[in-house]
Amino acid sequence: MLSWTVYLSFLASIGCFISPASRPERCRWIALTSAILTTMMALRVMLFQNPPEDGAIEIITHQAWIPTLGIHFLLGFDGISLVMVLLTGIASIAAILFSWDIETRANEFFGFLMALIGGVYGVFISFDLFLLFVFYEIAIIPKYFLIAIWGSTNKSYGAMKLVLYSFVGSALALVGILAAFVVSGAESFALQELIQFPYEEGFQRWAFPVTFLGFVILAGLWPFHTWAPTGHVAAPTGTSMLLAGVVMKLGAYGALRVPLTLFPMGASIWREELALLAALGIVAGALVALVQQDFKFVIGYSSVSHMGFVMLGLLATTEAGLSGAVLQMFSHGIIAGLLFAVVGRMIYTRTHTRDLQALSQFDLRRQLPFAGTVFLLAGLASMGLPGFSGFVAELHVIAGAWQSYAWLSLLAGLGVVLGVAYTMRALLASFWPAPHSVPAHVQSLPPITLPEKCGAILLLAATLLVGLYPRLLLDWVIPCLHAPMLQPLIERVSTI
Amino acid sequence: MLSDATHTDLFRLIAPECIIVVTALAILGLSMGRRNDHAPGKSPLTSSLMAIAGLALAIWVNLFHQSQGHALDWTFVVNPATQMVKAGLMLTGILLVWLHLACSQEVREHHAEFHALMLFALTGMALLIGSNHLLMIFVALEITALSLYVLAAFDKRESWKARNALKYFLIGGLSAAFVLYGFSLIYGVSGSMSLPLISQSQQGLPIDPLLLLGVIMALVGFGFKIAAAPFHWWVADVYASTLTPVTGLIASASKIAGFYVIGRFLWHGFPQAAGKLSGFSWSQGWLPWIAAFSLLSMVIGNLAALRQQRIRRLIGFSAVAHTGYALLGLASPGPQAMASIAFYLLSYGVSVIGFLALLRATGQQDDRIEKGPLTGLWSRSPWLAACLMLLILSLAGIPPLVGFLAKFNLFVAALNTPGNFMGWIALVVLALGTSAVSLYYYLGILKEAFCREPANEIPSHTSEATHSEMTLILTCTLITLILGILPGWLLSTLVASFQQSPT
Repeated sequence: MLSWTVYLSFLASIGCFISPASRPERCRWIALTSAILTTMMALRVMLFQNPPEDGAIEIITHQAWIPTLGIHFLLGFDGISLVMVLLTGIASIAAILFSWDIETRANEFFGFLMALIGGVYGVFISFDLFLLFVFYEIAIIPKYFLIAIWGSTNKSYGAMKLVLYSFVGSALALVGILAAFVVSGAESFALQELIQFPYEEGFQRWAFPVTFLGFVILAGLWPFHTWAPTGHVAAPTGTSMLLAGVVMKLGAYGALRVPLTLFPMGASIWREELALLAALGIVAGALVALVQQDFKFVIGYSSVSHMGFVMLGLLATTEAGLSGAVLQMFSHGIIAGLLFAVVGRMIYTRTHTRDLQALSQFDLRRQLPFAGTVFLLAGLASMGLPGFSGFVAELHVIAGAWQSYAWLSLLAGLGVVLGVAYTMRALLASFWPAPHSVPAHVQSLPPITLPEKCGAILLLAATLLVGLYPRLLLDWVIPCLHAPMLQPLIERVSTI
Repeated sequence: MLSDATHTDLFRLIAPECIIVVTALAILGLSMGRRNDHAPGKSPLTSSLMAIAGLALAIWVNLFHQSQGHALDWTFVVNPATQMVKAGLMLTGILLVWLHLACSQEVREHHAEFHALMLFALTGMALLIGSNHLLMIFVALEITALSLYVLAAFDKRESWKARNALKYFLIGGLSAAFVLYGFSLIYGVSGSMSLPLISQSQQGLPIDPLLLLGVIMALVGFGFKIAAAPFHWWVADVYASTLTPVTGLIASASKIAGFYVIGRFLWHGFPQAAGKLSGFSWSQGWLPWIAAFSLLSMVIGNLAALRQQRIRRLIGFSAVAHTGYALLGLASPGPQAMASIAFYLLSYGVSVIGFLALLRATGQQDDRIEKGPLTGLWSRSPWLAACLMLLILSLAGIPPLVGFLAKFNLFVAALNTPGNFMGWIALVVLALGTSAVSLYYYLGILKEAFCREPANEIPSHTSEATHSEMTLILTCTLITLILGILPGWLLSTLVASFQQSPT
């Protein structure tokens, strides 16, 4: 059933491409229907199926694809995949709703968007590494066109930078996958067969950092993060939401599935250095966000900071850290989407400026009260206030990091404090400016539309639900951490 | 081995080549009888259809009605592998004739001669694939080369094209001299012309530096033919100035034949002299040289393409880069590696022919024009733009298009070489890195086509694609897409055919 998330998205993509450009509404509905249906599929599994206690992978499709290389069309899912699939579904519905106003070349826009979404779904449910890589690459190319055609500020540069960074990252990841396949002498690219092979330490020593860096370039690991803010800012709103919301997660998810799972020994050699980079990314991203004048850059750098938590959690390689990383992926996917939606769609398309100074001229709080409320709630969620998903996630990560390297969790804690600072600063400058700076007569702005309201409420509901009842996700995630696949990673650390 | 009595057997072995030659002669003869065939503006339909029919018949005979074996002291070999590669060669030949038919406004006269020369070139390439003997290799190489020289100079409307054709001819002649010199050294050392006998004569002996010098000399000569760096200077000029089908012929078919003969020459003639990647000296073997050519081709091709504003020159340099990738497949003699090269070159050929046809359809027939006619293609012709995207992404190696899988296969083949893992993985890393570089210029083309508004005044030479052009472009695009998604059958068949062909 879950495999239809991939097929349906690609079908919707083709449907959008071939529908006439003069009928934008048709493409919107095709895209929205497909996104809702795929989300329902994920929800159905999550709500009506009991999580397997041993965290086993449920295979959906297993067919020989390219026999001469032992490549299989192997789709399946475990708890972690399921959480990511659900995130993709929710984020894509919201992204489509916030792209409702796209009129120029709407058929191509939604075609590329659905191709991107299909690739993302594919990565999350592939358990053959070749297949995973294929979907990973499929997700890269549409981003270029989405940004370079429909984007704003510096779009050509931002698009090319983003694609080249992603491509270089994926090339490094491919080196690791190829090396793992060739060295093991396995007859198959299936993850479960490759993990049977005991890779020797000398090999893991170089294979792990190469593969890990390859994947986490896409997750925005400092100092390889510079593509993220420029790309996010240049992208149209729906694409920024998906970029920050799910595409960056591809990198983190890939890092968890491939290098951390296959090369646990290499992970234990390198994790301290890499965790330091992750923690520095948390602080550096937050500090840079603190001084940005462009509202979207604030959100862009905050994404780098929040993704630092994901990677710190992964590299803590403890149960708390890993489950926190997965939760944070979900949580940040929702919250970043929300923040980009407010800034890029609700504010920018109405005011045509994202400069924090200039925004104070518009009296946004009175003109767009809905946007103000949403941004306030999203800001609180982003700061990690209890009750929102960010709190549970970051708490898990910091706790996990404390077990492994206490001093890095201090840096992460500093990042949380800075997060409060830059969010408050942006919030105050845009929605609650000093009264004297608001002119008496402001040009009136068009009201918030229905699709925008629906999208925002959906995302807010998701972050609140997970914040109040994290077991919804954790019940699925925790068993996976005890599954034989991740055991070597966690055990190795606890024995050090 | 064939005795002197059975010339019929010999004919049976080279039946497909004979069919192509007879077709070429028939086309020539027919046109001689009809005087106004040479008149300008005449449609090439008759000649093209005859050529396609001849090639199709040759494929059919080649695949299904041919005895396998070898003749005249291993001069000719027919085995499942040569049959598969020849079939691929002739299929690209059909696509090229079709390309000529589709853009016939480019060549306005002498269609019969043009077709005959293309068929002669294809005959030479087919003979090259089937030859296992130094003399036969040289003769086949020259049949191909002489036809290509004339074809390269076929368009005489502008003097700079003639100049580039002369450049091609002079460099080609030089490369033939290298090959001949290398062959004479090999013969002098080993006392034999036939590759299996040369290999036998060297069994158990240490690598003779003089023999290796001969091999390297021949490799330099071959390197010119397959456009490997540092023997690539003619490529961009020739790609820019030749007629579209000729460019396609040089880019696809001649590489298929060239690579196959290099693989056979090296791994069947001198397996003992392969050496290790780790060393790099005259007595170390030829494998380091292949690695060096591959490295240079990838780096120079991609970096030079990065700076090209003119698309035909850009394709030329990217062809050098693709040669570099394909050279990785020569790392090992196994059926998997050989099949990966064949698969790669076939897929590259199809993509590049489709792309050339598309350039022709948008009025981009020569070097003088920059990216202009592609600008804003999405609004003028969405289907052409979609084809352009798929073809370019296939050339750039993006899944699910065939270009990705073809490259992936080569990498696996290179890494599976026993003993040289670290050396080859360095090359694979370089190949992936340069692929990222290539993505920049490939996306640059797509940016012109997709992210720009069309110019207000479309240049006068821009024409909408004719039906015939459109069908060809669509066919090539569909092949790159379908082979990318469902490559299993073709790859398995190729690997199996190489497994059944020890010689």
